[in-house]
Amino acid sequence: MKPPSPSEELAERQDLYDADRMRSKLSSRIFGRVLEYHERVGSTNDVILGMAEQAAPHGTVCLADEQSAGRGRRGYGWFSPPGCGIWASVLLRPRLSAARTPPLTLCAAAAAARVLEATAGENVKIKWPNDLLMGGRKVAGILAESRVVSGDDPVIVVGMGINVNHTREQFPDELSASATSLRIESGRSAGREELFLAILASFESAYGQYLANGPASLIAEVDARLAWRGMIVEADSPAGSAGRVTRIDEEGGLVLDRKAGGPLVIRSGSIRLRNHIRP
Amino acid sequence: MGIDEVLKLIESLRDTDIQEVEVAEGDRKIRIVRMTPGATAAAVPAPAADPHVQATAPAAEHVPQNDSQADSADSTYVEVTSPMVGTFYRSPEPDADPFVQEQDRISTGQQLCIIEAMKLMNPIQSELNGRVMAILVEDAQPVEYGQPLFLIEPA
Repeated sequence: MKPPSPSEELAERQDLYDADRMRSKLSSRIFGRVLEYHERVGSTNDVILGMAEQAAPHGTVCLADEQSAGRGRRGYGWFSPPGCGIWASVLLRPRLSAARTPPLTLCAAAAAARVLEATAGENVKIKWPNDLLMGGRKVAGILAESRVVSGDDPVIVVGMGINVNHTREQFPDELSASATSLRIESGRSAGREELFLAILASFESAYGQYLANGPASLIAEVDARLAWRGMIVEADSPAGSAGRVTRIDEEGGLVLDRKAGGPLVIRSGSIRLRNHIRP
Repeated sequence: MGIDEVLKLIESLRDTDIQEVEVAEGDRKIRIVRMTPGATAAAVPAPAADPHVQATAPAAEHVPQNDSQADSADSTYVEVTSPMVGTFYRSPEPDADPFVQEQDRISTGQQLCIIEAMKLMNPIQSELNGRVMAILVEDAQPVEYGQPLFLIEPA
């Protein structure tokens, strides 16, 4: 992949968000109709949780150019520098039983995967349950949090971190082997606003489908994008379990095939490749 | 009947269809009732009856008419159960302090743990004021739908 030319560099620097322009170009009906934009926040999930306490409506979105404390799972951060990513959270008030909420992670992952694939022209895989991979590296992640606010049904905040226009050099050393960006994979930079608006519309559509029709088509879509199929992975819950990735089950769990003990369904925690040495 | 025996009794009922059981021992009695809490009411029904369980001992009519015993710590326990299949976390981050410890006094709305499923972090909050009598699951262990997580003595 060739390095960006000076004119591309300039275009990238000019890829700034404009909240009013985004509001005028929204194609989603509900998601983003209340749009809170910040140049810099700690974490967009935290902003939305705070807004939920103040009775912000379903579909409220917070977008930031930079997060100083972007969250991944369990204390892991999400590298969220200014000018090159989409760091956004969506507030959902879904009125679903708790047992039916976890697939919302898959909804967001599938919705973002569709848009990134269409933009980049490259395959986007889903590493169960919440990471999007391009070329085997992480291009985006989803982190959802539920919260009970002031006596209402629990709200759910779905956070997305999407690496759009990072160059390889922009990633810190510890991420250089595992992370990538849309630009690195496709060879060209993309307009963040357009991508963000398209992902909002895509997520709204996937969410509506899930609520109206249940998980079947969502599961099929995630299964079709399943990363590491046929490879042996280790899961951290239950600790020490391992098996070959086969498919997504009807509730969104990951089915591992084991030599002994039959199939094992993983419903929480993370998986990692066993004995895998990255290039 | 001590707390260990209460826990054993609850454990032995977990995978049964028994809705209510009462065990008498001298003038003391323990009753365990499966109940559906209102707090998690939702438009879409859960896949099975919500197996939140409340344990009480002794039943009110058997409370000895003696102040010290009536105040005794093991008169009533409430179970907090998992609303979903997932992984149980006692702290917000691996190196952080746990949300609660055994014997901690807790209040309504206070966070007790996180249940994570498919990277959806669900805080589990106390629905009552009371004291944590037992934490029934080890940190970072998988839990089943309806599995008891905490035993709370109401204040």
